[in-house]
Amino acid sequence: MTSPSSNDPWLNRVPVQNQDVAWRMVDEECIIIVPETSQATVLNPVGARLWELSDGKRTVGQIVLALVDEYDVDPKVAEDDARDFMEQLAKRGLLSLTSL
Amino acid sequence: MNNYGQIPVVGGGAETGSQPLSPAPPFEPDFQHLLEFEEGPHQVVVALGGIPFLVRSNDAGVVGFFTSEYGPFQTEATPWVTLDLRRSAKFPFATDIARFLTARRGTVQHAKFRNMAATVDLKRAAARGWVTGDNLRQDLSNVLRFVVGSVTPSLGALLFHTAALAHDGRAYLFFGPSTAGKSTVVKLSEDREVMTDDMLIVREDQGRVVASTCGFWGGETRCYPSRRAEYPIAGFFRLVKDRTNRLIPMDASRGAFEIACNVPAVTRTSVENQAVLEVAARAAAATPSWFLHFHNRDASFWRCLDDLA
Repeated sequence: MTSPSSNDPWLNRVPVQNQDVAWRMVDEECIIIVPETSQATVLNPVGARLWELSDGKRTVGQIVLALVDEYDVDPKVAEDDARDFMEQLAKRGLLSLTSL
Repeated sequence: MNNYGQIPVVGGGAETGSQPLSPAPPFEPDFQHLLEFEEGPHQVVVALGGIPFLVRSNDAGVVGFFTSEYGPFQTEATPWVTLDLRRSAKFPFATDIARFLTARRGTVQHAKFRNMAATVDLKRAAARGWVTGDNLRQDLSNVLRFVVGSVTPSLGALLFHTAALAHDGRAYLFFGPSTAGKSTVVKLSEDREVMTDDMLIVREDQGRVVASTCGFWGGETRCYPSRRAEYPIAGFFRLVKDRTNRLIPMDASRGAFEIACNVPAVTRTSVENQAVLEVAARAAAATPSWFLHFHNRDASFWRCLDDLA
C-alpha cells in the first residue's frame, strides 16, 4: 500500500516522543503527563496508537501506512489526521519531528 | 480491521480535554540553613495516610502539635520517612513567599510558602521543614502537604485532592475543580462520617485500594482535631453541579485521568509522574469512577450512591 502523498517530505520525518513525558496506556487510550507544565491529557484510541507508533524509528509515512493497515480508514484521511495530530503534539512539546 | 471511529485528538472535547495540575512557579532555593540544622530532641511517630513518619524538632510545641492534633495518628510502626522540623521567631533566609514556590534539584524538592520552608530528599526519604510565626497549625499543615505530596508517588500512593465521606465501612471520594462542590457535599452529608474535605491518601493495601486520612482539612468544615480512618474505596465521584441527580460511569482510562488530575502538583521527574499514573490507573481499574451530577440543595444525591451499594 502506498500513501497518496508519498512524495511529501513531511512523510519522511520521524516523530520522537519527549523522554520526560510520563505516559500509560489504559484500555485503548493513553494518559500523558508533561513534567514542565504538569499537564495531564488523554489521547483517544487512534491518537494513542499514533503515539505508540511514534517510537523514533518509524517515519510519519510508515506510521500512516500502519494506521491504514490497522483501521478502516482512507489513506488520505489518515495522513491528514496524523499530520494535524502530530503537529498538536509537537506544539505541546510532547514529541519532536526530526528529519531522516 | 479496527473501527477508526474518531479522528485522533489530544484531549477529546469538553469532557475529555487536558487539565492543568496547578503547576507551581519555579524559584531559586536558598535553603542552606535548612540543610544544616541539628536534629531536635523532641520526637513522635505518626502514620499519615498509613505511612509512618518520624517527626523530630527542636521545639516542644511542634511535637506537642503532633501529639495533640495528630494524637490518633501516633504509631509504633517503623518510620518510612523522617521529618526534622525547626521552629524559630524568624527565618534565617530570604522570604518572598506570597505564592507556593517549589524547585527541584536532583532528588531534592524544595518549597516555601508563607511561614514555612521545606526540603524533601526523595532518595533518603528524609524531609526538613522550618516554620515561623504563630499559626503553627497552618504552617505545619503546609509543610506536611508538601512533604506528603512529594514522597507518596515513590511509595506507591497518591495524595488526592478530594472530599471523602465514609458509609457502611467504605469511602466515597468526591472531587473536582474549585467550586465543583466538595465542601457542599460534606455539608449536606451530616449523617455520614467525614474523612476529609480537602485531601487524603489513596494507596493499595493487600490488593485493595484504600482511602486513608492524613489529617488535612480545607478549613471550611473545621473538623479538627484530625481523625484517623482508613476504608476501601466505594467509588471515585467527579462532581458536576446540575438540576438533577444522576450517575454517569467513566471508563477506566477516564477514571485514571481524573484521578491523576487531582493529585496536587509538585515538581516531579518523569519517573515520579509515571508512578502517579501507575497508581491512578490501578486505582481506576480496581474501583469504579463516576460523574456525579448532583443538585446542591439537599442530600438526595446519596440515593444514587446507595443504589450502587
